[in-house]
Amino acid sequence: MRLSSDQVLALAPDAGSAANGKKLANLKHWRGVGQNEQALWGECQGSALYQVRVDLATFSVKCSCPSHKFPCKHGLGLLLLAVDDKSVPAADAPDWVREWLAKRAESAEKKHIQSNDPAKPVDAAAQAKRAQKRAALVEQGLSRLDLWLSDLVRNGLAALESQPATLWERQAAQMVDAQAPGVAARLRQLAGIPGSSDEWPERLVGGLGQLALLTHAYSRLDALDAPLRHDVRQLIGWTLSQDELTATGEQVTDDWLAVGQWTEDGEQVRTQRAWVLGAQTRRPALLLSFSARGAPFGQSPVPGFRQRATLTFYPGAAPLRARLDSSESEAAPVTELVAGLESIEAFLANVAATLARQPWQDRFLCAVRCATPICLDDGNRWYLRDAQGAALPLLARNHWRLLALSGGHPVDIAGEWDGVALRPLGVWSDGRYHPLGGVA
Amino acid sequence: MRAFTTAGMVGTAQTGGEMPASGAPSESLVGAMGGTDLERAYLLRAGAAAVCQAAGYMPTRVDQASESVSDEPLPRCNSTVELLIESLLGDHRTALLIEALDLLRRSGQALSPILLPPALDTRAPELRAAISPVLGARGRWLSQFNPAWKWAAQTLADTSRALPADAETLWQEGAAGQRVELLGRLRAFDPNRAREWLMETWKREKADTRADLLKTFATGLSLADEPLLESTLDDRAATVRAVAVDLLARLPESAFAGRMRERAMGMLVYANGKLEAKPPTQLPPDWQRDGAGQQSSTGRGERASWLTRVVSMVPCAVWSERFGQPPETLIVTASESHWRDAVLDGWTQAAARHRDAAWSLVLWRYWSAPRGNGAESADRDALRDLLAPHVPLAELEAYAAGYFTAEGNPGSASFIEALAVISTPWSAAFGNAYLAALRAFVAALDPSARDVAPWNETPEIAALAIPPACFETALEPLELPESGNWYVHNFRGQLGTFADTIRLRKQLYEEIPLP
Repeated sequence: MRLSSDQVLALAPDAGSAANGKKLANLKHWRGVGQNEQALWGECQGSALYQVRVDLATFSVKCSCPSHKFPCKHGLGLLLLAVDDKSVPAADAPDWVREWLAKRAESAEKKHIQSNDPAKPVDAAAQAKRAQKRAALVEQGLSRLDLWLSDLVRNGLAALESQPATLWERQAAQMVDAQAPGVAARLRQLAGIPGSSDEWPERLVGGLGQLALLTHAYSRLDALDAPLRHDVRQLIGWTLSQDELTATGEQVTDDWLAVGQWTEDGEQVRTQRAWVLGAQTRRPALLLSFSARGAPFGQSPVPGFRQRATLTFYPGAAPLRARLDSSESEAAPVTELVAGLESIEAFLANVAATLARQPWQDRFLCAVRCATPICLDDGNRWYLRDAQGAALPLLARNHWRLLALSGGHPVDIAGEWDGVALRPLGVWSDGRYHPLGGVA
Repeated sequence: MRAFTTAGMVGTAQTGGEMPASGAPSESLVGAMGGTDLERAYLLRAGAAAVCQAAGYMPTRVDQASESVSDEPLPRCNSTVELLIESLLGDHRTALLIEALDLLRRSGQALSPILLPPALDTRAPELRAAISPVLGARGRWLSQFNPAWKWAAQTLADTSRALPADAETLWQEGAAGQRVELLGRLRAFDPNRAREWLMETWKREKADTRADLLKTFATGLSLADEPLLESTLDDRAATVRAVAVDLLARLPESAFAGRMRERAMGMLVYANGKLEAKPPTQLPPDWQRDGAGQQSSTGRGERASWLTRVVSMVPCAVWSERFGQPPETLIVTASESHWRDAVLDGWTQAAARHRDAAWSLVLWRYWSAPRGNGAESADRDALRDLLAPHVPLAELEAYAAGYFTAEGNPGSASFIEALAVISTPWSAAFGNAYLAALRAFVAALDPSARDVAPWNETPEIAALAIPPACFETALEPLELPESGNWYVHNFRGQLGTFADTIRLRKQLYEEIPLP
């Protein structure tokens, strides 16, 4: 197989699944394991005998167990078992695997036909009415928010450090009621800033200011260019339906390298942020998947692999978020970060160019080649340094795995930059990709 | 910018309508956004300034603070081994880890980079000793960055027994642990030079280091070391004095050993088939200096404690010669004496200290015999195990094998205790004998058995001790009778864990090729 064990473990939805998967990576739990060019399969003895199969083109797992984790521990165990190329023999697929593969091919075909189908007729009048009603709600909500923001500034932000979180939460709840969930999410983020670091006053003033810029932009939406209008609407919280996305989004076909992903734990929703980079277009794209109450994430590309695929970008002035539509080739491992940037200077120039078009973008893919992780002050300060000596600070303090993999030598590395620090997501060393992301 | 932020912090109500500039190049642009409201204007300017700042982010300049590591001279373990070791580290399975790491060392491989952080995080000294030789150049380089990993620098990079080329420099400048290791190596082939090295630096060494350095003298110990050791009896630190006492006792020709012999002979008297002891009622000052006053924790009283201490310094052979009786007779005689526990305890310690094969065997048999023979010292189990390393392997194996049949219950040690003192890996013959006996026990097990003694928990010991030659046999399925009985059910679990451990070890031996 083309996956290494840590790549398999990176597919695990959480640390518990990874640990349980490791325990199942032992032939004694399995019978009838086999693989061919398309698939990998086996039956695992758990509370019952579970049938586990893996599509080797996408590494998507199907298991008959009742777990709602995805992939489940049985799938991970089977993949780990197959890492060494010896434990799982080549074989002819049994019926239950063949049927599944056939069904998959069929549904992919159907999807393809569906996407070419003309959209169903919709009740345009009712839709317009709903939109109008929402617009009115949002407008009211934002003007109340503007008053609240001005009050904060008039009375001074220093007091916020000793205010309870409910101050922010009440505002955020009002924004949810006003159907502006994007604004609510921003308020919840701002709630964490007071008192969080020495620079919290600057960060809070800047964050509140950007929120004010957003409501200001929304108040004169008609004067904006169409792409930026999309951005502002999405930032306020309007969502695009899949059909609208198909209709308005730009489609880009490229060899997309999955460079890294991590999972952000929200109070109710977990968000998987998977970054891909176009080998030819050199465009970054962000694939988001959401999971509520522990439900599984949808399948995302395997980090460290490339796949020829078509993405549809959500419309905007600097399109970033995208949907994976179809893949046109098998996933293949990548031994180096092709299409990575040569310097941190070049990355920061990209950041500036993006912000000039879309000033609210707050997270950027930083994929640079030949950069060296630097550990200072006994592991209390970390940097990523390029060949020219320019450096970005790394987020938090536990980058020992990255340092061990680099050995002080330049490596290809991908991470997420939030304007303050870089979160490393993946690194190439000795021609192998190693995931670094995780759950925060 | 600072004044601008401060204005927001104190509140625009306090600024009297005057607003400091943000200093960002966006100021003029934001002015055009209009708005009469002071607060709103402040927020918009703040927002624009924040975007400007993000867009104009200046990277830090950082020096290449550390040298990169040179190429790894050792090949790295393969990815299957990587996964195995990673899970062993995660589950803290120390014994298996040590075996795996030792295999890696013997095959000349190093840990792969992603194993290094969890390996360096380990704390157990025996585990660290096994990790150190497989850290490789990368691991040693990495360890310098994390204060919790400094222990790796205490070990010598080269793990052969040879003296490194830069030995002199390392001796002068190395870390304490390295210097101890170095001195130990030098003792092995030039004890005199090692002693000269130590005498040169002796006065500058810290007490703990002095004790550790002096301990290396156990290798290559000779009368030439006596003057230094004798003077060390007056050391300020009790730990250092204790090391000196132990070493001098091992030099039968030393003045110290002579003094001890004289004191011991003055106390023990054998006449008319009876052994009498006359420990002093007050501790003489010269006994104190020689460490005879050191209290033991037996709770037997001061006089008994002095007696044990002095006797423990004197080779047992002295008594066979002086009293003209074989050890068997003397031990029986001692067991009938008033000072039984103190004398036998002293003899046991002495036999172990001086590695006296004859006395060790007889004493070990005495302590191993069935309970109720009078040998009821509170420390019986500890004293028995103290001697085990000096007892022939065949004797230990035969003793444990007594448990292989249902009627066998050979003595004071439980089956588990008897197995635990046999050095690992077991011989193939003993491994096979254990497995055959286990199979027979399982086949004959009554489904309603109220316990699985004495076999209970022995598979856990056997799983780690069975040699590779027995792996195949060990993996042949063992069928316990169907039973809802808790004892049988629990033993089934033990056999499952046993097979798991053997399978894992088998995989390790297959994946790590030995030269």
